[in-house]
Amino acid sequence: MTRPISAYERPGHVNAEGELEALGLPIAEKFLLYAQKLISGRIDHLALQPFADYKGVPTYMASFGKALVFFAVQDAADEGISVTVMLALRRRPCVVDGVRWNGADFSLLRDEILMPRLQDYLP
Amino acid sequence: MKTPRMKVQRADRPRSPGGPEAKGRSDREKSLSGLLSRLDASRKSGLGAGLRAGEMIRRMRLCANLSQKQLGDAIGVAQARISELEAGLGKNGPSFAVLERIAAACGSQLAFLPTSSSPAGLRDLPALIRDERLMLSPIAPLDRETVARQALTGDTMLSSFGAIEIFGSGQLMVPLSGNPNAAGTEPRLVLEPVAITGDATDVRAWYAEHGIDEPQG
Repeated sequence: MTRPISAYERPGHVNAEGELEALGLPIAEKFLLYAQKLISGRIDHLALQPFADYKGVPTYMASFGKALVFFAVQDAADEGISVTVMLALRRRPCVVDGVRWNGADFSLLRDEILMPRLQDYLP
Repeated sequence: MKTPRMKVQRADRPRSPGGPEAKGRSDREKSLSGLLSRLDASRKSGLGAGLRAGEMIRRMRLCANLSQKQLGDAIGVAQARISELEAGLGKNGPSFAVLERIAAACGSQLAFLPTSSSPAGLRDLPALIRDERLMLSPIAPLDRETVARQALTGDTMLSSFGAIEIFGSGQLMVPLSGNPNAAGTEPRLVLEPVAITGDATDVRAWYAEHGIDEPQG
């Protein structure tokens, strides 16, 4: 059963919950309140611009200044909407999943960091 | 320091729903219960409580094979309100009265046990497991030791068995009898929280440690 709000995890390697928390609890709280609105339908995710799309599942980017949260939204008729935090990081040069990101190249972020996570999560 | 404003780019025009979506792998997703607990502890926001209550409502509804609209009709609220409750909308969870109405509509019962900080609370679990009225799983029978072990390790969900679910927060859902997947017609006892603390992963050692006779059979 899919949880309404969850985080991507590859045990021993990736923990998106920890990434979100590392951005700070105030940001995590704001994001979760927003996710609640998506799940309840108060915000229609179809009105948002996807950052990526994999197998029909859109992934959106939320920004809080330099903090970024990428979240997939699954909309199943029988279980309603669920939100999965796929990636959370600060916009600055860093290494994520072994890939160096310069903090500016969003194509690289999408193709080499986010997409492999989506491919693992949505095989 | 003020938290920066959240921004999500809006589409130029609303998109229509796509075709069938891929489904996320459950072994690749993690509940946010740890983060929610820390949020609650640091900000006393109640956000985590609301979300956990929402998840509980959603599970009760799905176990009862009810749609949000059917559940809303049963308790006299709109489908949108059920959706909000399941999303844990706002910073406060639903009232106990609302939870009770939902539980009744789903053929469930709410019951509360002492927390693990109370020795008596710890003793309640094996007493329940010993209780002959608890038929743990007509689908894939679970022996009592397995159930107790899952309770002790605390983070395992056996939802595929439909017999007992141990949420990340330590909640247990124990069906009293019958097939819990059969249209939600059987009563269930929802217990919370039975958080078993410590690292006692061996159920026999745990029984011995607490001076409780190990259940037979």
